[in-house]
Amino acid sequence: MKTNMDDLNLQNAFPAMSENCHDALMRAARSVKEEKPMKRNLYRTVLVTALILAATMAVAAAAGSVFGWNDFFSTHHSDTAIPQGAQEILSATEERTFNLGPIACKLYQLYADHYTALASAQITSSDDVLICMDSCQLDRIGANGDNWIRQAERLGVSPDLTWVEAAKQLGRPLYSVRCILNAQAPYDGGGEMEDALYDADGNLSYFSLQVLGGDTSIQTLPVQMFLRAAEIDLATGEEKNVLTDRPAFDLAVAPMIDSHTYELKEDYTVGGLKLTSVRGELTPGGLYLITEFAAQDGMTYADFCESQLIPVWYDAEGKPYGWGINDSYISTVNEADWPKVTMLGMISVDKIPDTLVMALEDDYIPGKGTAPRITLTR
Amino acid sequence: MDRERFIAEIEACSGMMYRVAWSILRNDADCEDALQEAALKAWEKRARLREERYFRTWVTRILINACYDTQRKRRRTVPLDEIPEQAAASAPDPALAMALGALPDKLRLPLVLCYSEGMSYEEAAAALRIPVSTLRGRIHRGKDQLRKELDAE
Repeated sequence: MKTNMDDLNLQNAFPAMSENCHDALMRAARSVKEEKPMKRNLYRTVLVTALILAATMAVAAAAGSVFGWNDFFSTHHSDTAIPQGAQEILSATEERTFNLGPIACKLYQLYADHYTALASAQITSSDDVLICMDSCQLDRIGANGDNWIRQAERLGVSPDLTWVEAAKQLGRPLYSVRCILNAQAPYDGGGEMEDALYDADGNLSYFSLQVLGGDTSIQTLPVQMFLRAAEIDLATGEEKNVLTDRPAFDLAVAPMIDSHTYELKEDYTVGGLKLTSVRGELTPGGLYLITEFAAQDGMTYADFCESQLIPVWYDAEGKPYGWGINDSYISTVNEADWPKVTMLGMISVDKIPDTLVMALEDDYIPGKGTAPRITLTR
Repeated sequence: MDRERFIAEIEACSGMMYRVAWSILRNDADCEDALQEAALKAWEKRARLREERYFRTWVTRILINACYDTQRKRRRTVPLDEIPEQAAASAPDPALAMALGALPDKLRLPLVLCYSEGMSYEEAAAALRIPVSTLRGRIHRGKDQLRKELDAE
């Protein structure tokens, strides 16, 4: 039955305004007479590397192989290694395929622990369909880097053409596709990443990551895949036929293997933040490092929100650890707990190191900084 | 406009402002940021509001800009593209939220302003800074796409 648009109450498409939002808005409105109006009330900042926009490095992949998370990290983060435990979980994923019209999405590498969920899918079509990443149809094919430039070469078109132009030139239908993992509240930890790469056969592999809340008691994670395939009108570049599916299933959560709270034997204060605690939580995917700081007198909440300080981790020899597979750096500040600041990072190791070195640096490029370091021993 | 009146106007518009911000940003943290930014910007620019009866349309325009600013900042650090299910989960009608969320901004916002917030076509066109004829076209296409999304559920 056709939906009667006049019967719809669009306000039902929105959640009720949260107290946080209402209070923040009215606090700002009431602050207008103050000398320094309160400008921010951010309680959480999530930094996930902007991979979608990043220029990519060359990919060395065997012809004919489906791209997986190893290919993803070797493309974007050569310093990120997937620990053996997570490799085994990824390899053991039960493959499942979902069809959206002429598009097939085959899930083939999934992983979850208490902070991170990963999913990858190979997108193919049995028909003569060109497939691009969601909403990229009007982008130049080569705009996303070398991997995409090579795809243009495989297709025999210029990487300077848009996908729509290429489809017209080749006389083929074009679909934009999205395939992402989504864990809903209360498991959602507030950050996502998605990206896509073409493998050597020209098939699109879609990668998505979701940051989770860190609850170690969860054994299975209820997730949904959001699948969307939109046929593109080559005359206008707009979508003309959108197919969606939201298959739901439970994902096994890899258990925490070990944990350790490092003893702080010396004072460490940098940039107005005093280190108060370092705890490691080991999973098959690597070691999460949860650091807590106390903002010192003189540092305001606004100062902290403006700062870009994050812990960078080094081994006993001073060599920086690569990013963990969560590909994220999360800094959490609950205003009610201010001046307490919690930061979460991850390194790619398969056991908790006896010695760790940390530096609070003003950038998230490991090894760049000259900030003071603190050595932590187990 | 004095401070007390300004606060009262913001309070009266708070629900509308939240829904407009949510329709663009779809998460509370960013909405908080954009709402605060919009309130402060509106106060700074209040001298430009010649007639207070247009406050709602005027502040909506400021809010939409603040939302896009927030979105731009966010995209530099977080590829937080819209996640329809997540945004829809807490709405009274998740299917409707999902369908509305699947529309592009340029079709979604006219629908939200006219059919959720009860703005006239003239008011919504002013808030979006587009001609009324363009707005009509987008409303038509938006309703059409929304119907298709809902029928596909």
